[in-house]
Amino acid sequence: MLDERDLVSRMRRGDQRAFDEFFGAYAPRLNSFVVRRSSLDAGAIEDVVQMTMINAMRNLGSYRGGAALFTWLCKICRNQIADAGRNAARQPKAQSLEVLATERPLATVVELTDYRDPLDECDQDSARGEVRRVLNSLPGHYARILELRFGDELSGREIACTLQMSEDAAESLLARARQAFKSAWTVSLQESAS
Amino acid sequence: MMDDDRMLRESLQVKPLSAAALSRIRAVTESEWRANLVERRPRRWLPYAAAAILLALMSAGGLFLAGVGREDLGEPAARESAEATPSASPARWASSTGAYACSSASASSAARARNAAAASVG
Repeated sequence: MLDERDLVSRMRRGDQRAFDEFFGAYAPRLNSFVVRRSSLDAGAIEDVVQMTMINAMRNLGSYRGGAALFTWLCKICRNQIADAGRNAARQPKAQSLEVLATERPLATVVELTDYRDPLDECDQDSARGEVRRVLNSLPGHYARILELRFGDELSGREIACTLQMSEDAAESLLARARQAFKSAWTVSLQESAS
Repeated sequence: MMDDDRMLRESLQVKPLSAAALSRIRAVTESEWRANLVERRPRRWLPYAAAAILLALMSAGGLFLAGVGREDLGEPAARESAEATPSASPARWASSTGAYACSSASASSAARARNAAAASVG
């Protein structure tokens, strides 16, 4: 378990090892956060993670340790996701093939890496989108603990360690989060059926 | 509940960032970190400089106030210190009172001469 205040103060002093620890611990977690909380494509996700990290470095002096470091990063990241969403909305929804062909060689326009049944893909995507929507509607600490349990597959002890709480408190929070998710999911199903 | 768990598990699984993407992000982040370190370093002396300036201002103010308080103490203070001296050093006392007597004697003779001149004119 990282001592976050110590880590940040070492980074402020220019300790290379502290930076390595920080990047190794938080960049993959930020990526997971962005993937789970947004519907952006791979390139935009990379941009969001990068911009979040850059903003974190610029504002490292303002981190006082009041919240967990990852919570602080997530706050920055949410703003970046919102910006990316606004930018994506400004882009044209469709482009003509002629324009695409002049901008990029055709070989890179069509990238089939492996075959998947389009209907399965579509189902999976819509289920993911719905789960994302329900997760985003839950209180932040519920969504976070569900991600840790089912996304990162952490044990109760690891979750307790990550969220800096006792194991019993983590189990209790997880139970409440699951209940909240189930209720929100049922409502979501009813809404989509009607 | 088990279905919910399975659905959550399937929906929340994430493909990790590729090694190339991770190294790109790392390079940019690291250069930003270094740039901010360089910008922050020169400010370290700021509190010390502020403290030194404050100290200098306070000393200057103190000296000024001390000077204002003692403006009218010149001659009387010198006289007092001269009067207080005999017990400490009789020799210096004698020479300083001699000088003082000399100067007061010459002052009184000048006054007498002025009075005489005024009388003759009158």
